Amino acid sequence: MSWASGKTVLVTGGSQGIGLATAAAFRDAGARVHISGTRAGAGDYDDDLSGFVYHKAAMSEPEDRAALAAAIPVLDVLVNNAGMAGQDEYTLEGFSRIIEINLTSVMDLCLRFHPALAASQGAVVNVGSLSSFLAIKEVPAYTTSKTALLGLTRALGDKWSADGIRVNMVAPGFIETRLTGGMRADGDREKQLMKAIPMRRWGQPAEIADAILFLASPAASYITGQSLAIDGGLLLR
Amino acid sequence: MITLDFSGQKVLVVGGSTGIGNAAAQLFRAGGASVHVTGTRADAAAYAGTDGDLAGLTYHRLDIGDRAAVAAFDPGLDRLDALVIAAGMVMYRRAEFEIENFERVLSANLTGFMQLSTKFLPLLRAARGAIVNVGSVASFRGVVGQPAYSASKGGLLTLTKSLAMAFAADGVRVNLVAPGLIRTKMTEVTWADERRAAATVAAIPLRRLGEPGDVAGAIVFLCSPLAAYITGESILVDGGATA
Repeated sequence: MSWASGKTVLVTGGSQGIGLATAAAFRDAGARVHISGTRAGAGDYDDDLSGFVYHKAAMSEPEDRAALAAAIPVLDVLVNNAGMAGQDEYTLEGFSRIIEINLTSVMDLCLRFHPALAASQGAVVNVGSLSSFLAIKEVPAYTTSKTALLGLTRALGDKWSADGIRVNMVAPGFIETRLTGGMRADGDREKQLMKAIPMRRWGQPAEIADAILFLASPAASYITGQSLAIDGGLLLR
Repeated sequence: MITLDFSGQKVLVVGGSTGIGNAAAQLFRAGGASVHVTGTRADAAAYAGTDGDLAGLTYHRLDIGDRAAVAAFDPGLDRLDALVIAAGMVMYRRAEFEIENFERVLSANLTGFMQLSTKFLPLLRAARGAIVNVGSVASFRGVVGQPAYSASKGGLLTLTKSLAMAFAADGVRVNLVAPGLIRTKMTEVTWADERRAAATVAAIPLRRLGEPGDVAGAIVFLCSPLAAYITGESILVDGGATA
């Protein structure tokens, strides 16, 4: 029997991309999986979300976050995956919005679920990014939020060790999701990008999901406050 | 535990006769792999009474500080899916400040890794396999009494990255696990004394020393398809001590 069977998991932003792959991996391992998304219902997405408990919750809205936490009284694993980049991150309003969604909401959910995670001796896995380690100049708020997520992972990892909660982060490189579809459509840009990746290929959402499951599992029982890059070697250069 | 299937695969754990390497070897074996291990003693029977469990493992004698012995080493493998290098040397009581000792430690921990990685590259390339080497918290920090050990482990970190870049085109991934203080025979001097151990544990957020199995989980993960897009990376397994 899998360690995950019978566990309760929440994957924010689990309706698509890396989040969906992670939700599916936990479900396949036998967990009961809650996901959140911004659309009204699970039926509003192209992918089949019927294997999950869907919650409409925009990470930009404090009351949505409160309602989400209230709806899930027991939790073993919290995956803070929801996040986005904006077109207007060089305006203060745009910057603040992204910081709220990518960073403040993570702290908020961690605080709200802290009692449940302490009760279950659970784990938190945050989804960072390459930009936790290097700048993407087009998106200063995204970069800032993901770098700060690394610091938050370390601080909570230290603080909540006393409660038996482990907190870690994954840092995906360029992953084949809808979000990066535009980059693949541009042949020259893709070619340039592949030159920078030692493995010479895009990552798959399932490859991030696998690392998240590992960090949440007993196989990582002595690992906390750490980040794990899943990038085909991109950060090596 | 994560159920990982290594059936049909062959794994070599250098330094797999005791401690962290042995825990990893047994975890691979539980996953169905055919596992070869090396140690410095004459044969498997010589490990009776240690923390090493050699049941079901194929034992070879090897001193990774001996360049000629490593060059001649032939475990008779026709394929190799994962190479784990867990052998390591450390000296206490300022012995590493003697230049001969300094060289011995570097030769075992650093040059040994380089020699084994290049030696087994053809087999690993054919299997699109993985290398995991065992670094340390000392890959990231100085250690006042162990200049050679920390230099070797720091070197392993960048060597892991360099080899990851060099071998990526061959489909071979190279990663490192960096254990904190793990309760093994090698580190016994640091935890056998109760007062010293208590002071150490007080500085570890998870409030306990690590066990070999804690590190084995990370090693097996990095060798598995779960880590297919991870290369040149290091995972600290230290209970949050350096978080």
